[in-house]
Amino acid sequence: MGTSTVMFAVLRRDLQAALRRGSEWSNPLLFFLMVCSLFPLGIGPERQQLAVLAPGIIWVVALLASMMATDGLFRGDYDDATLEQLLLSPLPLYPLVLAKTFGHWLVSGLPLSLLSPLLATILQLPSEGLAVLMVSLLLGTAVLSFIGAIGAALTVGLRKGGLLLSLIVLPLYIPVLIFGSAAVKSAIDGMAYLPPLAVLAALLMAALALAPLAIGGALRISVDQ
Amino acid sequence: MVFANLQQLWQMDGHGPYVWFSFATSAIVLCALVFESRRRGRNARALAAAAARRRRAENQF
Amino acid sequence: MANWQWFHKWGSPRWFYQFSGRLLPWLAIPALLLLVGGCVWGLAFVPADFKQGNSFRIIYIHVPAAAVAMGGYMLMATAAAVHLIWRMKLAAIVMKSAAPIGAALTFLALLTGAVWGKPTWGTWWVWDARITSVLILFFLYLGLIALHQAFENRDAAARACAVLAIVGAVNIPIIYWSVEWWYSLHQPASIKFVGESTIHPTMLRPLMATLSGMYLFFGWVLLLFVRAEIIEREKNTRWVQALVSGK
Repeated sequence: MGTSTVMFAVLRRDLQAALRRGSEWSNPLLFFLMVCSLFPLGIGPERQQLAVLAPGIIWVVALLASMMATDGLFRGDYDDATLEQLLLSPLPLYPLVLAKTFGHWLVSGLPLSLLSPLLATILQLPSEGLAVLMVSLLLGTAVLSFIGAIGAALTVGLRKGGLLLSLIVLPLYIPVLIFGSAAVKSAIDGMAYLPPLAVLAALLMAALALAPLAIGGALRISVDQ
Repeated sequence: MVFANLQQLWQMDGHGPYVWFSFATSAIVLCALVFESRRRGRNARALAAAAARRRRAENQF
Repeated sequence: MANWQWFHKWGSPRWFYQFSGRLLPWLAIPALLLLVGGCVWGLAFVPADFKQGNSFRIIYIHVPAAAVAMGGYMLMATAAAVHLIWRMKLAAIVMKSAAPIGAALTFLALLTGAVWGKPTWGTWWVWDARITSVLILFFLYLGLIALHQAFENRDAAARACAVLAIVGAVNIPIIYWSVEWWYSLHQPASIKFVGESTIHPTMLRPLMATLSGMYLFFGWVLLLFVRAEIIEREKNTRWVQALVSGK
């Protein structure tokens, strides 16, 4: 079997499993929707104020939703020993991890980004920012998936991984949050929004190159113990 | 000394509480680090000594 | 392979325990002299800053704490890499021991920064680039400590933390740069003066003293923690039992 065949097999298997258990992709979305609608209740319904806060709110909640989705990334495979099989196979780990993380992004980050214009409208985000919000989320959630996968791989062998995962991963999310929300704000203020988007793309390239190495190493540690 | 007397050194033109609080907490934290490391060292030595006693007792039988 | 002898020596906890025992006084005494001397110098014998007044004296503890906390993280990440690549046990011990010291120093840097901010900026907390970066460094340390505690298996804990420490070290430049950029985007005009206030050489000398004192202090306390951990791990070996029974 070639590497790409295995990559597609892993990807298809993950996607089918996610479609079968709808909760895997729908729960983060519902979380995103609910937490975003809590903010007007906490802050107040004034349109102007919400419009100012909207980019930050949407980005922070998207980040949390993506993080919560990451927790289960390797857990199923760990519990039924598929992970051990994958690690024992002679195939290089890098493409396998890449396929798993990409599959995770397809069921978490992608729907989140597609849903974001709806939430942006609820939160009174000016329409100039809608497209940039979506693009920034598409790029940013992919980076978040890679970083989150490192944390998920490190904590998959632990009984209570959930909260620990957030402690590990949240500080590493910060650059993505900064550039993602800055891009949206720049677009609303009529300033150049391409530079922060370009930085997000650069972060994605760096994560693409480096994160699978860390994820693979972390998975080996979690399975070996 | 740039201050005329100890009273002025203590007050530092109203900034005294901030400055002295910073230095006092720093001294406490740094001392706590030293004490904690020494406490761990003592505990480890006590464990090793207990293990050594056990081994000697086993060898006697 | 004579060239590799030093490597095996450094990998041996016993050798390191004996070697570090001789090193301790050479770190402890200069560290305490420089720290205490530098603080007394900075507190009483340096003229007040003409803009900030006497509150600037806090930098004599704030800057060394922040700098050594940062350096400590880099040391920890280096030890992590050494542990992962060569499976050197001593590196894992160094990595584990550096975390609480670094966390304590970042906490100090944050606390003294906040206390300095009150008289200088009129508020306890300002989301300024440097303080925010130190806060994130604090979170990174706490995450590492939490991860280490979550594992029951000591070797797995060390290797997992090593991966996280390296990931953190790769991310730190990105985080610092992004925080700088974020701050430059939102910088309020009122607090720009802090960056411009140039530091006078007479004010710099005590800072050099406390800074070098803090580095030595870090080395000293790190060795104390490492030695305690070595004894704990090797408590069933003959050399440790001879050591504790001997006195």
